Amino acid sequence: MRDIAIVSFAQAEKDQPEGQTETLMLLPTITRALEAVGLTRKDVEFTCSGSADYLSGGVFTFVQTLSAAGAWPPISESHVEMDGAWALYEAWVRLQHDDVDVALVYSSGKNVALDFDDVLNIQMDPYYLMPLCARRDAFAALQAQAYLARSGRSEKDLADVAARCRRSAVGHPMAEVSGEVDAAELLANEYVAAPLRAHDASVLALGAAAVVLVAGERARELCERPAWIRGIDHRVDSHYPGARDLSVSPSAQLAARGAGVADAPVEVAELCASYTHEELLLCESLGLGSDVAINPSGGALVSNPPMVAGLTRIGEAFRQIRDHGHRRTLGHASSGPCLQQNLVCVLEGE
Amino acid sequence: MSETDDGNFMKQVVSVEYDTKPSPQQVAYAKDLARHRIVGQRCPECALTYVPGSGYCPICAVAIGADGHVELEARGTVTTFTVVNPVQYKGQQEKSPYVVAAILLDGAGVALGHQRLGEVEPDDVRIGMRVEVEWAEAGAANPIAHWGPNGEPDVPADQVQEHVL
Ligand SMILES: [Zn+2]
Repeated sequence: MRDIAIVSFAQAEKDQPEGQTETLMLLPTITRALEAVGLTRKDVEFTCSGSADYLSGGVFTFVQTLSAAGAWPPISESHVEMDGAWALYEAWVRLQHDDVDVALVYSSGKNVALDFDDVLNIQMDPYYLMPLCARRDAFAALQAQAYLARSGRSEKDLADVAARCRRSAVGHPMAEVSGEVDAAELLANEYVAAPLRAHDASVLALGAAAVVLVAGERARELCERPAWIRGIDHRVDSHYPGARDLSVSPSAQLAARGAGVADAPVEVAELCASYTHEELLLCESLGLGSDVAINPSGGALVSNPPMVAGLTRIGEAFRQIRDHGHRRTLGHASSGPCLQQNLVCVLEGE
Repeated sequence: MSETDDGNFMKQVVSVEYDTKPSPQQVAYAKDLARHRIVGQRCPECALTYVPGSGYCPICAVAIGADGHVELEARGTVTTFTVVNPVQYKGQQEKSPYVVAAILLDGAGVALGHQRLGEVEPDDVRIGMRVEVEWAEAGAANPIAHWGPNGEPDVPADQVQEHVL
């Protein structure tokens, strides 16, 4: 395998004008990601993006966003109808071909023009699940019930996750919610879908992010402390949630094994948990013990831009190496109902 | 539900409703247009002027800010057109054939698409024909009523062939 590193990560400003296009969220974001390591758009040899046109409601929005990457003269690029973390995976595979060294990964997502539950519903199978029009909270609650029943964890444990994430998010520029809260106080609130309360669910946001991947020695020249991708893997559980044991996440386990999470101690993990119980279930599935710092950014719980939250976790894991001197970190992305799909990326500094 | 010899059919209505807000650039363009001003955006790098602008130049991948706004005269050249023969379905408002054209405004880098031509028979429309705006009466949904011939000599068609879209 070729050594490939993340050398840069940038996020769009949290506050955007009403009606802002994804292209204009991405344009300055991509510029900042490249300029931070002294690159221009002309240096990029492969571009891969992740987004979902269902969110913007505009056909080929992902083609318009290419204008933010700069697509003239024609460039080599690809798109996944997935979170940007999967675009990063494709870019990593592309760089393994050995003929190009610099890749740009970006993703964008808006939650403002629609009811997000409507879009999530049409990813379900059209015969048994789609007609139910079940909200995402309902699916998550099924998994939370199953997980609590099996693990013996309590709703108080879930509230503790929410309180810790909000505390960690204090001062983070992207946080939609943050601050000191008492778990007992949170537990006094009504259920949204038992056993989940509002604080157990992530706060949706709009967002855009960009990551620059560089292969080999060039990465060291561009970045003082690149984060080398030591393992990356993604797996998917059965399409039909009713056929799964929701109290466990085999796909997360497999992805962790494939990415070599257990090969050496992980210091920090950024997990794409859209609900508090998902964080606990993921820690267990990925084999992360109590010595691992989980979601120092506050995680997806405090800011969940669709299609961007996963790529952001990998970007935050990169920051832990570049800015905070950590040696081995983990970025995780998920997609689909009840953690159906999981991607694990292990990063190392040197 | 209905049952046939071929199997069972299930009625299913799944929809996604969007409440899409126009972008700040679209809002600004529409406000100017309502005041009978056509304002484009000139790229600071390649100097192409986009009408309407999207706030960036897709060729140079740079943002176009307020300092790139340029007002254009409501006059230009037909770069391509189509004659629409309206099918008389229920609710159709159009009764007779009409022309929709792309118009390259003087000073613009890209053509303005989907513009209605008037004051001219479909058979008389030509690529290269010079036109100017006829503003609609105050309060109309579209401030542009149509574009009509302004009497200037045609521009040779090969001079606008790069601007058919
Ligand atoms: Zn330009």
